[in-house]
Amino acid sequence: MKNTIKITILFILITIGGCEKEFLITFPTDQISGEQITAASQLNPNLQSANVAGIYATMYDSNAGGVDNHEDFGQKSTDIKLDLLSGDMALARKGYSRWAAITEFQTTEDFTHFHNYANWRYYYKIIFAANIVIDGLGGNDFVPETDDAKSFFGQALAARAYGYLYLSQMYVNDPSNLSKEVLPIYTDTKSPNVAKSTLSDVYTLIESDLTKAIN
Amino acid sequence: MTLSLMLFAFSGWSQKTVTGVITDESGLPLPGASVIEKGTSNGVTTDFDGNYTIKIAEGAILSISFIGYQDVDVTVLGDVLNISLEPGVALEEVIVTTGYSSIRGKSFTGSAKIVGSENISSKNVTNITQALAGEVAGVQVVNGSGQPGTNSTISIRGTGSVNGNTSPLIVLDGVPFSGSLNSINPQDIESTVALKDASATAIYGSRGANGVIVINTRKGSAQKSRMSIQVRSGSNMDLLPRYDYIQSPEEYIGYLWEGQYNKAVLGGSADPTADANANLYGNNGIDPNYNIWNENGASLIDPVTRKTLPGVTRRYNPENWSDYAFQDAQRQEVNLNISGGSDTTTYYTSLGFVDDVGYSINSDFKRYSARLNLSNRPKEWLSTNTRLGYSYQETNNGGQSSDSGSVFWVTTNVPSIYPLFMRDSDGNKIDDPYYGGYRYDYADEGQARGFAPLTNAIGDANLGVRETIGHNFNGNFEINLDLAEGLTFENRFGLQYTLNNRDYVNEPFYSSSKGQGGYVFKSKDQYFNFTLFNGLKYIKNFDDSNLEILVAHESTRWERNYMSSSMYKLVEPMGREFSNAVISNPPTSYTEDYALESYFGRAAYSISDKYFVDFTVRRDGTSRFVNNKWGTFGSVGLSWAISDEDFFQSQNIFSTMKVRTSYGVLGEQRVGYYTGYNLFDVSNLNDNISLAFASKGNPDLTWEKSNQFGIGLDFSVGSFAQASIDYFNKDVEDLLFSRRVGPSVGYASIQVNDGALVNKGIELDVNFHVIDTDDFKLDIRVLAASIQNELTQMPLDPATGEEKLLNVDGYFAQAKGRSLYDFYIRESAGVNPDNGAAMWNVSYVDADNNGAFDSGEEILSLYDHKILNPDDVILTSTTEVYTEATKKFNDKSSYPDLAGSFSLNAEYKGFDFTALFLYSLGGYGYDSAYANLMRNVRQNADYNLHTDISGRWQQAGDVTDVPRLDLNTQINQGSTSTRFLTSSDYLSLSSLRVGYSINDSALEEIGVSSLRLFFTGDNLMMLSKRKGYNPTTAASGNTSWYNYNPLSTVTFGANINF
Repeated sequence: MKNTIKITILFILITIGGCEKEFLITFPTDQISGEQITAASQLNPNLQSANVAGIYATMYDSNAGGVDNHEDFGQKSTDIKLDLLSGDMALARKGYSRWAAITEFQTTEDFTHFHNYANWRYYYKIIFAANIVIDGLGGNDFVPETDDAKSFFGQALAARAYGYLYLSQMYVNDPSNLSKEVLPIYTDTKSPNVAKSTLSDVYTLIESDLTKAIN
Repeated sequence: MTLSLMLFAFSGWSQKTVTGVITDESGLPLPGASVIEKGTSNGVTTDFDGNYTIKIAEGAILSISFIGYQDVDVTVLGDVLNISLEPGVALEEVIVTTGYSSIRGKSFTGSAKIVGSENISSKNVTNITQALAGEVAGVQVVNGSGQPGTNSTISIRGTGSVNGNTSPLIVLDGVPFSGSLNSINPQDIESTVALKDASATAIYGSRGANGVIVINTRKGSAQKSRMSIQVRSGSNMDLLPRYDYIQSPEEYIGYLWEGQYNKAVLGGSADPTADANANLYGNNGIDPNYNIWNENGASLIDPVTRKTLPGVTRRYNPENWSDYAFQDAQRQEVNLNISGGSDTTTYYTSLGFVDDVGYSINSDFKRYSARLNLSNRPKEWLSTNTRLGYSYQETNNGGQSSDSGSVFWVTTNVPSIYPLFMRDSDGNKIDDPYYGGYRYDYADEGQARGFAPLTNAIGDANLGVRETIGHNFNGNFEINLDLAEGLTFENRFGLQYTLNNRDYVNEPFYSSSKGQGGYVFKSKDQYFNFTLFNGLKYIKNFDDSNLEILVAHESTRWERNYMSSSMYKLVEPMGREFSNAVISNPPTSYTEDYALESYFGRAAYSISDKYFVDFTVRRDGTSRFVNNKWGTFGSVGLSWAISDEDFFQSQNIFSTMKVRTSYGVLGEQRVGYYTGYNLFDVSNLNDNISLAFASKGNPDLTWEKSNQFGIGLDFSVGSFAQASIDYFNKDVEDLLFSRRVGPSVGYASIQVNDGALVNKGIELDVNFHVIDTDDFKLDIRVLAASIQNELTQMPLDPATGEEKLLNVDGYFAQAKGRSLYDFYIRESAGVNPDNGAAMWNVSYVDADNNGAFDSGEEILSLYDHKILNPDDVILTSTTEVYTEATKKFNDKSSYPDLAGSFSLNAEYKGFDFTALFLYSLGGYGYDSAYANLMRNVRQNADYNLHTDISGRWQQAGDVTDVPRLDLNTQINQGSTSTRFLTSSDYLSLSSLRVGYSINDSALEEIGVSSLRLFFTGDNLMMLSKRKGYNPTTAASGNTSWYNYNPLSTVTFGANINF
């Protein structure tokens, strides 16, 4: 009798403790993983366009430049900085002195300044997002056939050209010196850090991306 | 299952339960004495009244021991055994409750330190984390904030990981605990054990690599029902020193004028005095609205003395913001506990209430807690333990954001020329039409306050809602089933559930949400952690040796469900519900989770009660890694009770001695939950789905491995001193490392397993019994730890395929052969006496051979340059351009050479006295809060200054280390450099208590068995390199200007036992 009770209790306890096979597999819900996107794309083919839309979402994302402050909100923050730098816009009052480093020409003197990091990080983030779409479609030599594919490929190429164009405006001191190595070029998402390429190569890439995008 | 059935065949053995009281020679009960079935690991400790209950084999021998008393071995005949012990000295015979098993101190091969309940419950703390400061050698407790109820962070034996988690595992009543420790009432804690080395922690495998803190809550005793009440009441204060910042507006305005003057000189002005007079107030200076004097800028300052002219009078007196930011703060605590039981059931139940108000406005913590611990033995072969704890908490933490809403930032850093309350044109305060009192100056009606415009942190803290209401439940359920002689099946499951409801309201008239008509944010944050343990324990006694084996399976699942939303345009200005608002923002919700599964075994074997060996092996799987989930870990430990050897008796210096050593491999897996995946942000682009790349995942990420070796010696010298010395070496490889990559690849970092580091050190714990007479006892205890940290292998740089030479990370840089926290910043070269400019050292290669430094020749980062260009002849010079200066290792580390505590314990008749001091020597911290007060303020008076600014450079020839004030004409004058690197040596009085105990027959007549009155003080003193610099609020010794300096607390109280 006693042993029967013991066996019963033991059996119950061990049953409760049984682990299912997928116990150690978890997926995020705050953000979404590449694996989940692939699975969802099979059910909803329209998600293909979501990666393209993601390029645009990055353009107004807070923290787009990776410094996470009030001057870090994508393309429009760059526009403000460039307008202030070129004198097209005045900083009428220095409240928190937020844009003062730009108007006082500190960022152009001080390479350690976060503004210099933020723009660099932001445009290469756009280039990476464009490369995700291009890689997903089949790489740089992809020849689109459907209308959707043409639209996605064209937008991605144009976005990549836009990224390099801004970088070549902001981080090249002498635009006439085409043979100087100025910017690293990435045309896919797999490459590790590479050495800088010449301005001539950068312009060639921008031109070819834009030409392909229009076609 | 088959195995269990087979084992039942061995049933039919007999055990019995023995109870009794252990007393000292005069009959007073000895709490915490250990009672052990001789030759086994089966043992218990006595409760407060010396009572014990133990289940032993028929005819077994009981060994009874207590620190400072002689051991007694008795063969048990009846069911009751009362023993009185004679004074003497023996090896520390305490039970080390490690969570999975209780082990005798003597046979324990690992490094563990028990912190008694009196060292925890007597302090004025609301949670156990703060109470551990200074109690265990090699354990660092960082109390980062004075917000009441805050948990401190604990680290054991140094920083064991670069980007993985370095905090120890918490085990509550045998179950890994992931709730908030401030939900556990410290009064309910019986003992706390810090497990430091591999032998002690390997049983926790995956989770013990950074040490384990085992917390055991109280239990009842079968013999006696008792009731105890504790009340205490006192104050929280801001006793720790603050920075000496300028509080006189006249002094401050003089510095601003001097800045204008120097700026004009540097700009080549013909008449700098006139320029300074003209610009002090106006578009190139301070907003004239904030001129508090009856003079304009031109007739305010004497150009010679650079102070306000005699006879200048004020229009009004601006408030000292600190007067309105801090409050009288009370601390009240009441605890009641009742315990007792019968032969088959014991219980402990408690109720607690604490109301802890911070010295900063709108910061407080209130907790109601209840606990029921129930032990049951319904059958001879079946016992259960149920422990249930619940706490309800209300926390207000207004004014503590890390931005312009921080009360601590504004009180120290607001220039003293700015008033707290708004003024009209006559300088009179304005009544607040909405909330009564005076209207705070939010600088939002055309005024251009240079400091924190459009906000008022003190107004926000008073007028906003920042409340979190938390419900915490923790429960442990344990069933022990005796299957056969020596064989027990243990099942245990524990869960913790936490729900935090946060309400956040910005009122509609002044706050930053004024433009939206007020703003309400609500979040529901729910945590659930579930751990299930099944184990078989087998104990076998042989003639002269015994064996204990445990095999077990454990699984853990943790989940967080977060939901929040917000609305704006409020009806009631401080209404907290969405129905009170009309416009919605998009809501968000998500779930985060992880799971762990483990199989493990432990075997312990002892011979002659002198030689002990144990082995642990464990296999763990985690959901945090995608492709490589499983890791195998293990340890071996040995210990030898030398004092039980015959040869030991031939000397009389040492009275006891034990040596122990262990080696093990442990794992760490606590990085982000989903670092294995590429992650994308989901957002709305014109009502279409957009997926924007967020972070790069690494599916091959796996366990960080920590190879730990330790050796320790425990001994006592006569009856004069007891000591433990430990040496340890923790070799951590496959570090969880957030590798920075050049951001041009599209992302800034990736999580990898790479690199290796070593933590090694020596720990010392000595207790001297200086005086030991019947009436007067005096003990001095010293704890010291010296820990060294060194990176032995740097992670690979994928661009070159070789080990990365240098990883620059904020103030620090990591390189092979250096510690994790070696400063790598630009080196200050003082001030140029000719022009007052700050200077920095620059290393350069003299490319044009002109024997001097020219711009463009600088080396920006010295360490890697030297390695890459070994043939370069490197010269050193100084520069006034910050960006030309060279970053280099400054040969200073935030690791102290020596850190620990010392304490004084005295007893005289009924009085007792304890003082606990903490110290640290040889480390450095970056005092950024001070740097911020010493920076070159801007023309619009954007920041306050430290009084040290009085030593600034003023004219050619001044030799000083404080550069000129020039309103930021010299860019980066106050940027990161060795100028603000400060020795983090400190001495603090962490805890002080005085008590008086009354044991009087008169009390017993009214039913009181004992009464103790006490005074306690916490955080009473801090001596550091600079007044206001508190190196203990961050592990790195660095400071933040948002910091809520920890509370100083003084209370009186009484303990009454019935």
